[in-house]
Amino acid sequence: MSILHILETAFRGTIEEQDDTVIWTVHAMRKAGQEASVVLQGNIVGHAVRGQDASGLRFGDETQTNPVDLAGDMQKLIAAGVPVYVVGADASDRGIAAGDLIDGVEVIDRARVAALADAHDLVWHW
Amino acid sequence: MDVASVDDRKERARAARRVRARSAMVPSPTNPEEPVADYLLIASRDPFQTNDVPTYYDLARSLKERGNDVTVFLVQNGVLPARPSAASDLLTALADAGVQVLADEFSLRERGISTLASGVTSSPLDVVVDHLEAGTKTLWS
Amino acid sequence: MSDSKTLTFVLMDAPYENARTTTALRLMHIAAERGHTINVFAYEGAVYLPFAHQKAHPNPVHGKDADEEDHVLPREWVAEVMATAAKNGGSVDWINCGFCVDERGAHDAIDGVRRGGPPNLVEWVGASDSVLVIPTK
Repeated sequence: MSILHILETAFRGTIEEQDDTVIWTVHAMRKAGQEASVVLQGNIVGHAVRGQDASGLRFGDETQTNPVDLAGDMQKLIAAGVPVYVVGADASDRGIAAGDLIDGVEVIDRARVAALADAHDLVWHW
Repeated sequence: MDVASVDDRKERARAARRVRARSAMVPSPTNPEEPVADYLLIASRDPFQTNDVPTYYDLARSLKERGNDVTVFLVQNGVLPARPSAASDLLTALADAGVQVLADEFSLRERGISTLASGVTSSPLDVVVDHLEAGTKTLWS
Repeated sequence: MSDSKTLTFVLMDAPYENARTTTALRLMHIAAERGHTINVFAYEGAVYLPFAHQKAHPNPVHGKDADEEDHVLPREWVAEVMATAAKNGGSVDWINCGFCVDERGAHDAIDGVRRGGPPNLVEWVGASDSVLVIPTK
């Protein structure tokens, strides 16, 4: 049983959660044995960009000590055996060149998304 | 292709999926040329609000072009383009491409939409549960 | 009536913020009336759907007291879905994601809700006829 996760919502609650909660869930499910692949389309292609830095938030005496690392978490997911695909047209529309993306992601044409859907047992669209 | 043989092939594919669904940790299908599958794409958002919606409609079309049976079910603000307007052309084009386009009757009534764009049909929400019962690959956006 | 199926729903939205929670409950209610086995994995704000301390209030803008306003309390709708499923030979197994409960202090839920995590969802994926993820946006 394999799941294709199609993600598009970006930077949602990621500061407070210190994670992208969908990527976190995919990773947690992978650790529990669930086979999966991830497609990043729309704005969330930005989660695979190098050089993101969410550090430094402070409210009074409270400084956030463990800020989110979206690109790093994506690389950990890849290292855990989850293929991560980025829809190239959505990246280029947003001024993101292939060289701006982290290592390990595969840039694909949008048409490939339907083929990936057919190749998985379940398709979860986030 | 006659309807009976298509239905037989789809039922075998559904039965195969149910068997796979009950087995833990089976390998994913490696052949991308999977037998015909059924898809239900639930669209709860509208193209006036976000560009993600036309992309979702395009996915429905692509899945249909690959030989799948595809239904798009509009619910909540997703029914807004069902009211005839320039945006409803997107839905009519889907229907023309062979995608079944349904709109939740409650969501339509809630928004005072009584005349529907060509290719869109009002439907009870029960249809979604019908698909879930049948093991249709169901997505929500 | 259909044969009994196992349907799993994954929810993320808190109550009162958008229509997804209502549609999710509508779908579950249909499934409950059909006597299906319904699994609900609620995480993020959705752990507040069955929160025990939701309380009705009056509506002074419309001049209604609490009884007249009869405000929706999602925990009551959740309880009704559970009761409907049981009445029709089905069931509802509602899991609130434990970490999401902890972050939000949403520990007090109505009867029939238990704490869990992603391994439960993996188990349900393998055992369900369908899994519908209703994501927040």
